[in-house]
Amino acid sequence: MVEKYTSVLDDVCDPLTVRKFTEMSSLSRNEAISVLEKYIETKGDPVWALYEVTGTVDSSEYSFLPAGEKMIKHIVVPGSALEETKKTFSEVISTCLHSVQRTNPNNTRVYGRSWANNDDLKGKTLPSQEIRQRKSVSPAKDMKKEKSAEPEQKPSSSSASKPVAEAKKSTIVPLKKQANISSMFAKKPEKKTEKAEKSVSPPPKEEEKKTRKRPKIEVDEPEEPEEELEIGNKQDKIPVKKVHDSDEFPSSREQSVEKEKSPPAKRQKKGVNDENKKAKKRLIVPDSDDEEVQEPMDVEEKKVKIDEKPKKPEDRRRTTRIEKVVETFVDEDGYLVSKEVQKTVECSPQKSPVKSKAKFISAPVPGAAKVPKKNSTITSFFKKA
Amino acid sequence: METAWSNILDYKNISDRYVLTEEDKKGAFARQYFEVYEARVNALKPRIIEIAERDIGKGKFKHISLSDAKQDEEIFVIGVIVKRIAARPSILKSLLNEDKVAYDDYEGDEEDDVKRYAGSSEDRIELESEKQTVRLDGAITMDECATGCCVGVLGKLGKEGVFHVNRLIWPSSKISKKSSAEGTIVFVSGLELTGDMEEDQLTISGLEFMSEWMNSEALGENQCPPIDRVVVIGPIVETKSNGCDVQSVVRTLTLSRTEKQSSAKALITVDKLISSIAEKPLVNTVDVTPGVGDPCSSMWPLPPIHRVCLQRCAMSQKKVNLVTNPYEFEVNGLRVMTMSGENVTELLRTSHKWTGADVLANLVKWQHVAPNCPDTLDAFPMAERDPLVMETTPHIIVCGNQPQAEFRRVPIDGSDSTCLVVCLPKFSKTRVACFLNLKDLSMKWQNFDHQY
Repeated sequence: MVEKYTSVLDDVCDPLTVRKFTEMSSLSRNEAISVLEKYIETKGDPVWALYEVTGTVDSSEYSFLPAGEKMIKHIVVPGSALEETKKTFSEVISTCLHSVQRTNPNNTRVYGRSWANNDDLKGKTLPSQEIRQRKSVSPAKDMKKEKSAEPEQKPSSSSASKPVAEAKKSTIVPLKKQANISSMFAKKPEKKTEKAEKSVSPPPKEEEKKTRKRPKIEVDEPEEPEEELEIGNKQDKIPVKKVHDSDEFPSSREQSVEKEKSPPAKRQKKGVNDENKKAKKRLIVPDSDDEEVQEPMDVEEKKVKIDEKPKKPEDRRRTTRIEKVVETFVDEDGYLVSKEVQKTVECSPQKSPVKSKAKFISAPVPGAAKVPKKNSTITSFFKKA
Repeated sequence: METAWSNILDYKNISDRYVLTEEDKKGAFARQYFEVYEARVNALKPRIIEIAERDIGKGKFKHISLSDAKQDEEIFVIGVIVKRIAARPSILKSLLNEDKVAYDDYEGDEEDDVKRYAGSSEDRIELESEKQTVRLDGAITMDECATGCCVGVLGKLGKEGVFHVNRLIWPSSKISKKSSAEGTIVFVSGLELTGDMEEDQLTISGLEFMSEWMNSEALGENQCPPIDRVVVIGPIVETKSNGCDVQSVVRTLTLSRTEKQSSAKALITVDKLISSIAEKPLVNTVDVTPGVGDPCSSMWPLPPIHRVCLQRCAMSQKKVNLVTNPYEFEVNGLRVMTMSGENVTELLRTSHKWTGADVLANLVKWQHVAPNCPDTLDAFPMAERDPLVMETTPHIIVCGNQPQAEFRRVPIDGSDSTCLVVCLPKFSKTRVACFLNLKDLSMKWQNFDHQY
């Protein structure tokens, strides 16, 4: 029988297990083992034999086994190490031929070949995937509807933080993109009423703290960033603003309103005093919240509010000013970080938009560290004054 | 859950409650975690009262709210345990101090044990009811409970505002009658393939070896019993940081977390391995449950791995079953539960005395699969229900990825039945699988290795 299979076995290059040989030869397991053992004897050294030893082992050698516990161990060893391996067992249950191969077992592997390729999947498709893709569309839509529904459900709320927070939730992703950020300043007439409410609402600081997820832009005048953003938006992408009407920067609304009217919105913003710097050093959201509240109001109302901060319109027209701009970007780890930078910006109506662009959130700067600012972290609220 | 195939044994997948429904997902973003505890208390309260009436006597205890308690009056209060451990990493502490201290790395857990929180005199137990929280002392120790356990406490409120415990009442447990079944189920956990051949060699070869042995026609003592199903418990791919522990969250917030991403190659390898096992004639079905770090949500309960990730397994729908974690199924009336073990590992950290089997026995006593959800284990915020409450105690609980291989038969209170709890070590480290004989619930640890 060995002669019958010798030619077959001589042609085999890869390691051949007993199981594979039984499948090839249609022999029973015992017969296959017998054939292979005789083949090994005839061939001698060029053929390596691996043996499977099964037996019970003590827990003393295995730290994961509790004391006194016994384990059945199956091990494949070369024929040269067979006797030595048997001694490590407390009781040997069986020993049999496992496989044969023509190379050193250390150089080839019966098991553990590379499995990490998709060659066998070429040309094949998963029919169930298509169905699931279709199904996934509707829940996504539903989710979007849910998301869009939430802010719509809560515009009547008196607190300014909620709609802002919700709007911010929807804008967390767009925050990463400068284009979308500028589009946050798109107008939204519906939100003007909110802005009106917000203008009467109490301290922006608290709102800022609660709802702040946006980049900070510190300006001399609360409306300035809006103007700048607005102007920047004008230069950039007006249609994007329209698309991002759901974004809730009230300044954007102001800007959009102003855009509709006339270019130098900055003039209106110049009414904001330096006295408001401290308040305006807060997040743009509270300022913007105030501005959002203002948006629904008429421009005159805005001026009234501006009048609260005593500054003549003429004073607004400054040639240069130093502004603290908070740049928000996504670092390499994917975290949203903000960095405060002081920049000199010209205030001329024509030029300021261009330079005020620098105050806008710039593209993410990888590797830039987060600079903690006073009252900028959650922990600052726990600290005593 | 409906299954498209049937095995030799009468199989039934009863993991429906671990699957998130649309109702669960709706409004989840705005949900608070206290609602999870509220749902837990609502689910276990009637069962606690049932045992209190049985043990203390009906009408012999005064069940009131903690806020209505009077000093030195014996009352019965139901609430949630909170274990205050000083050494436990706290996100708030880390942020308050802003020191970004590098806490001890959990990833360096030794193979035979997990890192435990250091004990301190400041450690204490509190009971949180609907309106109040009170410190407990008396007939309760740190090793009897865990944060998130729902318990009834009989005792008195002292002058110092401390509640002196006379007796603890745990929820009642319900276990179905055990029926006999012929067959063997194989449990394997923690493949943790990286996609790198050198690192995965022993794991892949051990798994292939096991698969071939299960399908061999060896006779005698080395003969493999007929395998009804193979349950592969995740994680099946390796991620350096699973992100479910408090430590990982602290590291994330302090921007000091490093994570090794699992590779697509590892996923392909797993897919091929599992489908090759499933295609063997003498293996009927392979169930694949995910672990934290596998390509699915990491919030408990974990959903099944999507079939797109394991395409070959998806093509052999009749033989590969992608299931949830925890995973519960019934074979011929025998109820089996498997879990990937992150819940047990996190609970082990809170006690110096517990072993894996101790924790599993406690889970049976507490009647909750993971009471530390959502405290130290990420959990999906559900408001109306807590799917991890044990409505029916399984006959067998298998917990994967444990440092020690052990098993124990836990007696069920009020019943003659026992629950077999099994802790399974990681296959990637030990190449050990558990062969469970369903007839007599006997177990064999089997190791598959190469010495070349």
